[in-house]
Amino acid sequence: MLFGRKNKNPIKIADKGVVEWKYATCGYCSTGCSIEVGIDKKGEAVASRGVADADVNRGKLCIKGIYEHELFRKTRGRGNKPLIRENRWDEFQETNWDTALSKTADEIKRIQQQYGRDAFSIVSTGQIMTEEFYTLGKLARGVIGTNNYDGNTTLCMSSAVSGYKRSFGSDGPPGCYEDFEHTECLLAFGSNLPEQHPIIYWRLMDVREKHNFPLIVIDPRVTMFAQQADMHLAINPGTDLVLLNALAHVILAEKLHKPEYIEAYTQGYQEFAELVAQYDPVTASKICGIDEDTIRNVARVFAKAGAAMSIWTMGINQSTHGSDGVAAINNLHLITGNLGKPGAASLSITGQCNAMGTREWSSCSGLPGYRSLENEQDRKEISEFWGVDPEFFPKERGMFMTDILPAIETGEVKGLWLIATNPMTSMANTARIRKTLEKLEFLVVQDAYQDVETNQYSHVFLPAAIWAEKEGCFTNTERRVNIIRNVCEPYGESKTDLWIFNQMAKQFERGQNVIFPESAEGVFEELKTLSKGRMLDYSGMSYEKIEQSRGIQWPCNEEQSPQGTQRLYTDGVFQTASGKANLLALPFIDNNERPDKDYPFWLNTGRVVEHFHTRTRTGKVANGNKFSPTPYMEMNPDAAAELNIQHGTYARLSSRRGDAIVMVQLTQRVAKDTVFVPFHFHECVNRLALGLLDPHSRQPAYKQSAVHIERIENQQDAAQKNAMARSY
Amino acid sequence: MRTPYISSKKLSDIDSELEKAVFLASYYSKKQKIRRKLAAVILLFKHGLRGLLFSWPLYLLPFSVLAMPEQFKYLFILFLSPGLYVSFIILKKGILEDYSNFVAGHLLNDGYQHMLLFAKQL
Amino acid sequence: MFKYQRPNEQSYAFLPLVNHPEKNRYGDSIETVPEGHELRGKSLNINNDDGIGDNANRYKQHGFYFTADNCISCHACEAACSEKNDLPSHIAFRSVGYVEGGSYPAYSRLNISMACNHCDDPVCLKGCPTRAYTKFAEYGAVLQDPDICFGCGYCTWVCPYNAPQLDQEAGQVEKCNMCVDRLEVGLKPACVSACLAGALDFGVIETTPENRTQLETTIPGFPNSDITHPNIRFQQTKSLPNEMKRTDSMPIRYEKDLQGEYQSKVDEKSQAMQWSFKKLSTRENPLVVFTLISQLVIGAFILLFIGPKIGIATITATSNPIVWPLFLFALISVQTLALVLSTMHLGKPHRFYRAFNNLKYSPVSREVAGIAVFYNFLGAYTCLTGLPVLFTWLPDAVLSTLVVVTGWGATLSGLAALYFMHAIYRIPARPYWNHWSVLNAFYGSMLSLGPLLIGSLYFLMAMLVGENNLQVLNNIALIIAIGITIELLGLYAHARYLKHHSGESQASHYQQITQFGKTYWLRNILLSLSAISMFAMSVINFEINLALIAWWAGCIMIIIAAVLGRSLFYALVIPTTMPGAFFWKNKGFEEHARESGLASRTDAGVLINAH
Repeated sequence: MLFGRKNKNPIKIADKGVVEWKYATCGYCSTGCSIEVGIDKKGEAVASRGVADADVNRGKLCIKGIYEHELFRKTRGRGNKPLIRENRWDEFQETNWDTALSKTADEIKRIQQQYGRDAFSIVSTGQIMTEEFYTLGKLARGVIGTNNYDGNTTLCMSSAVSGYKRSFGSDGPPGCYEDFEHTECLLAFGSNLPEQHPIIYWRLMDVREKHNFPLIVIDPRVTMFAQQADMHLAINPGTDLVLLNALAHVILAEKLHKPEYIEAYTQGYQEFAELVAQYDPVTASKICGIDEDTIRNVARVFAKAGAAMSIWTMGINQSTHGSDGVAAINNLHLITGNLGKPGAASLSITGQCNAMGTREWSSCSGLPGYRSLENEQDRKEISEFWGVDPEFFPKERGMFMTDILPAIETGEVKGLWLIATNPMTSMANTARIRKTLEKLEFLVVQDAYQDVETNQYSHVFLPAAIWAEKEGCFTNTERRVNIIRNVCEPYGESKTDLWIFNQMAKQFERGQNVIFPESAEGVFEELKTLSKGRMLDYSGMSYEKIEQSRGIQWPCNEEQSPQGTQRLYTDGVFQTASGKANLLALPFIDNNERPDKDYPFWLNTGRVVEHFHTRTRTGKVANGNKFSPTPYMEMNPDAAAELNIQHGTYARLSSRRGDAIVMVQLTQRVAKDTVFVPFHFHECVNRLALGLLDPHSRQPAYKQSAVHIERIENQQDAAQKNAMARSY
Repeated sequence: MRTPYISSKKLSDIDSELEKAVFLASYYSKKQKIRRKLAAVILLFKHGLRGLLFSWPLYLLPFSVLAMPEQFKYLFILFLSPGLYVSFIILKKGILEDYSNFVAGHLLNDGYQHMLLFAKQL
Repeated sequence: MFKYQRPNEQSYAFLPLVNHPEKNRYGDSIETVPEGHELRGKSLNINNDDGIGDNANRYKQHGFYFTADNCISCHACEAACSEKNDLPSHIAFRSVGYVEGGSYPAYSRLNISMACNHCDDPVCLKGCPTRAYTKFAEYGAVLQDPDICFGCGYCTWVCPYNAPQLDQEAGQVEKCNMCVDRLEVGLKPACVSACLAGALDFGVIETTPENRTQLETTIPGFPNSDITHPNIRFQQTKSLPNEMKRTDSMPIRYEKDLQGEYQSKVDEKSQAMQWSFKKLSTRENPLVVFTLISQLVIGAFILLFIGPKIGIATITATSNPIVWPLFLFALISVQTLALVLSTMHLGKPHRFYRAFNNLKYSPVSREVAGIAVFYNFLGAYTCLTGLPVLFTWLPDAVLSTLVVVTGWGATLSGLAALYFMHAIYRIPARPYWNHWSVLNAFYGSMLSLGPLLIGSLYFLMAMLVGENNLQVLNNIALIIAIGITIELLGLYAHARYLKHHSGESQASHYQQITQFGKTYWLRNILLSLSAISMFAMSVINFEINLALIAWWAGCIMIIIAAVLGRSLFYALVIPTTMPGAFFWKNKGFEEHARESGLASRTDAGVLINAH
């Protein structure tokens, strides 16, 4: 063996000098990995690692989690001081918190007085702590009193929420990751686990290494998930409901359903069966592009499995029939009895780290703790608990975020408070959003990053703390409440969102009579009280207990379920009035913006693993950003050849909304009439997307628009434009 | 680096104020100051000699002036400049780097001359 | 030793205790050193820690095991490695790229995660002039010491897997260290522990992990393992399309042959024949200058020294007492300039003296030594013959012996230095260079450029003096013509070799006739014309004015051809690289990022200044 020398050189291996590891839960996606942040002797966060004994991730982290410690001080563009300006075209002036908060409060009051309570709207996020969501809800509903209060979860999970409510009477993902270990068949609809939820993919893969079961992926694109699947159904865009109805059709036609379960636990079978009878495999195959044999095969595999599971994310949710799609998946599970037992669940994989938290506690769509404004009893209970007049609450929920923006456009809403969200990049039809934001008399943006693009239109900027610069809880996809311990002080003069909400409340007379606990743990106590005995029971939890158990799945009740609960609906009792789940008849209406001769390509959008949402964080973490530093488009080489477009050059896309420049990546991963563009980049794909809204959930259909593609002659000019389009 | 000839702890490694004070008391003493000056000379000598070994032909250039008529004698200085310049550029970096890695912030113990002259890392 | 072991660590992170065969498939022992060997029982001295790990397999060759079927390109392994080693974004020890094939929806993407393979025959270790690499008996790890490295980048040339990473900011190379600190406490490397798809594993070589059966030594996109006997094994069972393509800018694709193995072939991505002058300027520009000048100086000296002995007397010490020393000093100055350029090409120029550390194995060390010896002999000879006034104290016999010795010393060491210089480029991982015709190029340049300079000087002097007898020039022209012919023959043989050898060589040839096509043919034409013109000058006695034109025209042609040719030599080399991704490890994108200003954002992961 060739050694080179006998006297060995000394070995230097990097040692970051970590002296303490602090527990936290990842602040990116809703997998909910437990992560420890390593602190050196100067108190700086220098390392991250997965928590080895956490059940969710068992020590694993994805690329975003591995570099999450850089968020505290190493990402540029953080907000430092509050900023203020008279007009959005003026330069921002630095100011102090008192001025910023009082200016904001004054504007809110002025707008409400002049135009009505609902003329000031609040749109929050899915990424702040549960305690902060609850506090914001108290502020929004109990103090400010606007009914135009929603979150950006409408862009992502609203269809899942809507589908669950329509099918089961309530929100709440019924399964857990452990179901992978017991399932005998997994259908994945429009879910790209390796890029979206890599750790969930690992949990799934780990199980399949030991005992395999059929994995069927339904996705118009050949993702890595599709490659790993036993069957890949390359479905036509925007036709999931057809496939789902067809699967149900085969199950009923071949008598593979479970009549006893249907009888005992569901209602609406008659109408459902009649509707589904129209979706025979032959008809369906012409629409959805999956041949009839495959449809029958999949239906049989699903129905014959002892326990079958479905997962889905944006492929279902972000379409014009997202809510119907979710309900249709629930239908499949209900007719085969695949709910409430190990390995059987229709599990919506959530997007943001705490989208669940806002769904549970923020009062956007109702009242905290899965209560509703429409219910008089709920209004009474909460108003008493908070100390406000029950008549102050509206009797039904207000507009969704995607309806609030058009309301601004037409002058109905005059003011907006955005919290940790960036509609300038995340909303479809960028040009329209710009015009909309211009109309606002007052826009206040509360974010950790000053360079968030929506700040271009704001009048006040409130710098907020990020992730573990605060303390509080998140809830993940499988209802696991997990904790983030405070790792370091907020950057500069930024404050925690909790502090900002508390201070804002003091600016209002009504707010001074309501209790706003100062600490997150204090707020958590209110959550425990309000959730006791309900489905989302937190009463058996405490911060200590959560950290020790590495997260607890609700319901967690000291008497009945002290360690939390893995699955919902194990007793077959649902949250509808009758206690039975709804089987819904869901006709397919094709209102997609289909490709035509002017705009001949489908525009599909989605995620890449190294980025999160609008890249306000990941765009500045160099070790992740380098994997896709600039927007690109996956295009089929055969289609490109016809248009004389080369690999690695820039091309121009245009749609009925606008145009964009992207770098072209030729790959046979996409169909000849489809292109795929990651949605993370500002001034790119959302300039093109239509985002037609689902009628039930008001969620935009990001994945179905039509575009036209052309070659660009002046490549240098295109490169310039592309480089100048974003500041990170 | 671990040798008995220079202190293994650098000033920047020391946390406690007390230890720092003790270290600095010794560091600023006359003996240490003289030793550091001598160390700088050793480094200059070592790098200079090494450089010269590989570039002495360049220093021959000035001697070509010997072959020229009287009025060109001043070219000696001119022809010396390239050699000096190149040596300066390359050696300066080496001397400064070795000084900051092995001398500055360290206490020099007996035998440090030996280490500076013969250790592999320099 | 690794200080950050996690409490309640999971089983996937621990190195298993397994049985392994005694020898690997190449017949070498897997046990690195037997019991009782002097290298046993030593501490790895990681960060001055003198602990010794208690890993039972400490003296066995370890390696990575990559299940190519499973990799999903999630970048967790890359991120875990970069985080543990605290790397800046433009450097990565481990990189994931891919090859893809098939057509929608029967499309397959094969992701490949590669770091260092800690080879049995590490070419990096052999090639490194400073001996910065060591293969350890512990785990068979090949580790590199960045403190000794002076950033020449030769290891990045010779490694077929792009393991060493040259950090141009820091001026040194670093690479995967097999996480030996983790191995010492029984933990698998960070990248393996982070893998989210069950693709990356690690253990004693020639052992299969749980649930795996294959021990392949190659997958599509991976270079031939005969070059270095890398310690990596693969499992790749899924059917793949017959042709797999790369998404990065390397014009290489992989085609399945009749035995089912994938061979690299050229991927003709663009057909236009161009000049591409801008692309001729690479990071290796100093080497263009250095090699040409060294060859020129050696050739000129040999002609001056040997010439009179074979009847080609040009200028001599006795007949030209003023010009002689000036000319020699001029040669020394020019050679010094070349040496300085070549030294500044290093990441750490002030550590140039470390180049002699690896004379045993490294052609770079030998070449540097050869040039240094030549330079010293040249200096001594110049002193002795050009400055006789300094040596009047020496007896004549001694002086003349010294002159002879130094003269022959310079001649022989110069010739040897050029041989070693060519040996530097005989790299199996760079098929474009790995051909004997490099000798033709270098010795041809020596024979043409050196005498060209002497001849031009002689011509000038003759003009000044009004001399009309230019017979000497005939002989010089003949030498030049022979030199150019040698070069041309080499180029022809090289082109034939390129077309048949491998995908990378074919791709180089393809680029040669398309992207650089016009430049390539210009060089060939210039060389041919100047060969003809010099042959003509050697046999025909031209009238003085015609001779003037022919000679100087020849000069210009030869110089242009030399610069173009040598630049092509560096610009056309297509190394066997691991397939990259679309942005990361894609030379085409890196170039574009620099040109378009994307690289000016430090978080794009591309360093602005490549030179």
